[in-house]
Amino acid sequence: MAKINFGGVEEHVVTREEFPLDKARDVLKEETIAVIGYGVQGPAQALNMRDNGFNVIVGQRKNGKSWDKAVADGWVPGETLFEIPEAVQRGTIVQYLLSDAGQKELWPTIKENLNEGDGLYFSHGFSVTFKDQTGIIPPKNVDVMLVAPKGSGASVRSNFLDGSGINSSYAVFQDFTGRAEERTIATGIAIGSGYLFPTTFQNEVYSDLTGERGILMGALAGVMEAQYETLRANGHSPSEAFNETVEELTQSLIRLVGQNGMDWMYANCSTTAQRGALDWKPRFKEATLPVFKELYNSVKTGKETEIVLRVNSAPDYRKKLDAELNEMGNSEMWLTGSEVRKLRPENWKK
Amino acid sequence: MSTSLECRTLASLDDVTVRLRDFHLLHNTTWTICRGQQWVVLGPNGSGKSALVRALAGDVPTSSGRRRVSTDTRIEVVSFESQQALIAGELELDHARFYAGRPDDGVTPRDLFANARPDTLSRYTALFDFDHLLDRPFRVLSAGEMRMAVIIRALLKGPDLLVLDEPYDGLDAEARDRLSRQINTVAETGTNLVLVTHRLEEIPAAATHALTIQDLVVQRIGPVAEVLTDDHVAALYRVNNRRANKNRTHDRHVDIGPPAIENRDNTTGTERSPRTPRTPRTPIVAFRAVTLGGTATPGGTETPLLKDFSWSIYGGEHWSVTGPNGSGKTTLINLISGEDLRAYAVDLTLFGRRRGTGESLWEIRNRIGLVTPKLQLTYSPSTTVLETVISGYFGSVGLYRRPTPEQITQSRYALELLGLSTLEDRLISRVSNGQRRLALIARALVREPELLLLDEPCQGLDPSNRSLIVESIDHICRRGKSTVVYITHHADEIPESITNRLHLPGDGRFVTT
Repeated sequence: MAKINFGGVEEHVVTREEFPLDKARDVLKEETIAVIGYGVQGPAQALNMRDNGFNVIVGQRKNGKSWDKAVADGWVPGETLFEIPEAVQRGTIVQYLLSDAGQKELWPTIKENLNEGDGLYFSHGFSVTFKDQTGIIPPKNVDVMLVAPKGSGASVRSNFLDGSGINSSYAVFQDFTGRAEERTIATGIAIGSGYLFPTTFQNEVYSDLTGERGILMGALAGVMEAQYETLRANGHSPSEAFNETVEELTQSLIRLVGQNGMDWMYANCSTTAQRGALDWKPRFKEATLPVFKELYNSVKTGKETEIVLRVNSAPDYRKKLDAELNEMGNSEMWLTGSEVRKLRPENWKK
Repeated sequence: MSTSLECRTLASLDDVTVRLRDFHLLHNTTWTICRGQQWVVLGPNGSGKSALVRALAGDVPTSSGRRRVSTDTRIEVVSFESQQALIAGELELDHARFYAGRPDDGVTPRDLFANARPDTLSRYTALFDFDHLLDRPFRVLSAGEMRMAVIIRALLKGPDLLVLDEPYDGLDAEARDRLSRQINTVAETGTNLVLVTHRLEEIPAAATHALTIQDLVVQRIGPVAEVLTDDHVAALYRVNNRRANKNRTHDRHVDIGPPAIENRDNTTGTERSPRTPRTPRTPIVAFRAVTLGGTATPGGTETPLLKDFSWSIYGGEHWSVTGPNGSGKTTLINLISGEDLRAYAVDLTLFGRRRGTGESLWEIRNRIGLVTPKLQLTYSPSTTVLETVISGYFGSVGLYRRPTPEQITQSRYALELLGLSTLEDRLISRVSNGQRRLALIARALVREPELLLLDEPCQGLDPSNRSLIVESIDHICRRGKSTVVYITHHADEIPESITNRLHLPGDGRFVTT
């Protein structure tokens, strides 16, 4: 494995140069990879593996939209497309790519059709990490592995077709055959990964849940609302408050951060912005650090999972959720956002 | 100009210079379009035609002078860019759809025409025989079908000035005929036209005025009869002819990449198997009794596009494929190239191996050179012209691997032969449509692939570049290293050496001769 120094901390990373496609094909030459679920993640990984020359079959409930889509994508019923139980039986690596909720529901069917020595594969650590809550307790006689692509299903496929790839993290939860790591990395290469970062099921799901509750969605929307409300309370117009809170971030700053890093932003902005940002950064850090600590703890103790599973099974949840989402969608800030987007230069003529 | 007295100005450019990002071009251009005039714009690839008409339409800025168009004048543009924008929008939406778990939805022409009055819409869809395509997602429309959708969209808006930038590209003979009748009708009913074209035969009967342009400078403006004299039209494309002649002097024929072949065999060799002369009994491509529906959409149950279709291509043969829009020509190419995923579900053998038996897409891409209108529409990453050509060695869209010095040399050579050397560092997204097409042809030819799939390679090329490409392909056919499959809507553009013919009449049948 290549060693890469990340700001003073050394990590091991698998590259497709050291683990080329031919090697992956050699490792998996006797395997049949069964992709269970042809919804969002399933197609991209299944199609990439098939285009890479692996022996892939798809398991999907018959007579639905996803089944028809699989047929249109060239999967042949009875040859490469099966009902889920049969696909699991035929597969030696079973890629379980349903939603978290779908995985929980279908688990008994999967479990009873697994064979000794199979590789049970996930792209998210949720079900297994919180196995006591989800009930997804893998049998002792299978490998349990994970490859999590860092991108949407759409980019997993389109990057592959362009000839580039996508980066993924990988993990082994249970090594029954003694070949689990090799199988995992080979499968990671098979789905089109360029670089593979080692992780654990636990770390993958803890960081994922923390990220989406934190900076990626929860914290971001929260601080945006706080700033927007402050500007509005001081007499700023909705459009001005939105532009200074959301639009500038999404339309220019965040792209520069993506290209060059936040450190570069700080070094290259105006003196006025620079001084203020340097002074206020510690204040925001201080204010939010306790919240992040609490958040991480809530993830780690399984409290977050417990909440998700409990509300999902409540009969009136859909209705309550709609009400919550409507409240956000009808808030002044996001209604303003919808108008501001229409005024972007590229939309002038539409 | 003869129209000075009675001219009621519809739109004008008054001593303008056009700005395309950092380039200032078409200095001091003055062009007045009077009501009732029908214009045609001619000039070689990369001469600035599209920039000029976009400036007229107000799509690109001018850095000096004035553009005068009254505010109630509605201008609509049909161009490669408008089609490309449609596809880019779809790709962007795809990410949102995937994220939201609804990857199946897709924008259809009906969505695009949502604001049209039903009676007007049905009139135009009948005119272009487009009704059956209204509810098909854009992602599965052929390039020609998509082009028709963009034209219909523009006509539905009832523009005062309709700018058609190479509108005939990708259309079959019948659709071209329909469009040209439609163009004349539209002109008669008071809409003013500006038509940009590379084919003199496409100039509509209604054309009254012409503008010619060369090397980013407007040459002549005036009535058709005064501007489009034989001498002037010949002179217009002379620059290219000189270039083509110069190439011919050092090797009589254009010869793409011969040293690459000699050298590649003793270097690393990305090929899986050495290239050996094939016995004529092993086809390179073999379709056996294939029956397929027209679209790859879920649950499509219409009349089959291909019915019991069998076709073998043997090494050394060269095939032309003809047939109307939507008859399945591009589907065949997509099945061979692997873009159409049903390749795994039909009986198709490539290079002696049945598809879906453990071969990888890359083994196939390594042996194929590909040029398609769709590639042209989607190949716009931040890649330079030279990198675009080099990417042909890897079958990639964009360049993600380090090329060898030899690959760079060969790619430069290919660019030189096609007259693009001066553009090698320019981003592929910032050269003209025709120049991009030439670069993509160089990308396909650079490694002299075993199988060369060319879907309308001459689309968007001016007359001298067309003959350059037709001659180059003819030469490649005669060299015998590549087997060529050539799709065209223009029978007069089939290279001489292509003697096998597959015709798809559009009803599922097929005829080989």
